[in-house]
Amino acid sequence: MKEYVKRGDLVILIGVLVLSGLLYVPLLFSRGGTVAEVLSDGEVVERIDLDSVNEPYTIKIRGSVILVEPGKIGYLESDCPNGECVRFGMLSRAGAAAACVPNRTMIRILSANREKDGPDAVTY
Amino acid sequence: MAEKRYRTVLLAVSIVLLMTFGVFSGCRKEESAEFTGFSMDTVISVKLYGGNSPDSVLQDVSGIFTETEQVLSRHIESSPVSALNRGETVAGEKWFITLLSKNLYLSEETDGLFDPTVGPLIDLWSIGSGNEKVPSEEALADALSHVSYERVHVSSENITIEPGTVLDLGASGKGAVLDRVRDFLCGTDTKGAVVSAGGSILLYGSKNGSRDFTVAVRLPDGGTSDYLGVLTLQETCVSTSGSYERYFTEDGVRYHHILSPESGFPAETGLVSVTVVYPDGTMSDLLSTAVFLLGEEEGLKLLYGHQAEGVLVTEDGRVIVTEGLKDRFRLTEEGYTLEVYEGIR
Repeated sequence: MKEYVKRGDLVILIGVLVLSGLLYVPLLFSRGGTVAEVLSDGEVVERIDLDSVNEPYTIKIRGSVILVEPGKIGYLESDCPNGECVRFGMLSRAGAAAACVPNRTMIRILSANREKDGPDAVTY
Repeated sequence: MAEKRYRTVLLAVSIVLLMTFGVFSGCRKEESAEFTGFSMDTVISVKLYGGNSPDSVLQDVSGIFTETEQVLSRHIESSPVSALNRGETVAGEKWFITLLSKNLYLSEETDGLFDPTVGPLIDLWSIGSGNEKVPSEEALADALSHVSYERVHVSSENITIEPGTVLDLGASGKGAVLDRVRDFLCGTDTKGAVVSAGGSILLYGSKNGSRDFTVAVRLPDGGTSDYLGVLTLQETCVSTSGSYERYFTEDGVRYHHILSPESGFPAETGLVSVTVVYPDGTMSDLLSTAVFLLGEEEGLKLLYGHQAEGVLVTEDGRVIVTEGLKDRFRLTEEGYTLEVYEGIR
């Protein structure tokens, strides 16, 4: 019988196929991973991976206190006149955002795969 | 023999390359630029897709927001709106005259239930200022005596308002800036954009090759993470007026910010929120406020008359979508019943 493919070639071919398959692995695990951003005057000043938060803590920024909990973030208190930022509650889903307009601060939740998980915009 | 091995390796490398392109072409993204900031008393967010110089387009868009605020704010002394409120005659730019004309048109259509001269009423309640209180009857009567859209006079060049009248374009300013941004984007090579001014949204063109955009409708009284449902839409504008957005509580009663020029009080029409989908941002903004003030039945008729689409949420837990949105709205929150409004039969 004539050999079309040598055994050595087959090993290379299979090896390469396995390596290509490995390229997909990061994509499989790229979902999840809730990332929050804290913005001051439109600039991102803090980026937090909410999934790796174990103990709650607070961040003070421009007259507001932001509470960070495992998987959640929100305005805890604020010196702004209307307190609307606190009323937003705790955010946990991708695409969610809360702002303190008088203090010009904002928090929002991204995710590793934002295009897929969150809506393009939120109307309210 | 060596040639054969060489071919096999070449084949293998080709496969790897093909698979790599296969993996990454699925998530190929157009050049995009993003901006979040504060303007017109709200959060603005601009996302641009495609085009050769998105960063420079982004700067221009941000400039349009600043410029529009300088015209419409009645808290900026040098603004044309402030000048009008001081009794001066103003020669407005075309877009400003168009904005006022649309306001007056809707005022007339709703017999003054929607009125852009509710300035004195807004000041009296000052909801959102931290010093809110329910006004006295005398103060309300006095404020209401100054409210009338018929005291605003718009010609093709000049605008005047009668003394004592206070123009407040809060109900349509965000939509107006979205219209200006869209007109500007049309003259650029930008392929797509999602622009929001507070809860008013402009969807433009396409994103990564798809013309579909998703817009979540916030759950009344929920946090910002809580959505009532999701709309899938193509190039249009979306605006929402809701009683849960800005309010204060006194003696256990909640007073929201959408004030009725009829009673002087927050409008109680059985609606909790009104989302309007319409190609024109100014009209979309105006219609959402007008429908909220009119209530379910008359509000739906108004939408039908304008061929506008909408999602209405009632106090008794019904979600009414107009026919054009029935396949484009997905209710994601439990505890609501979905109804479809089929128009005037």
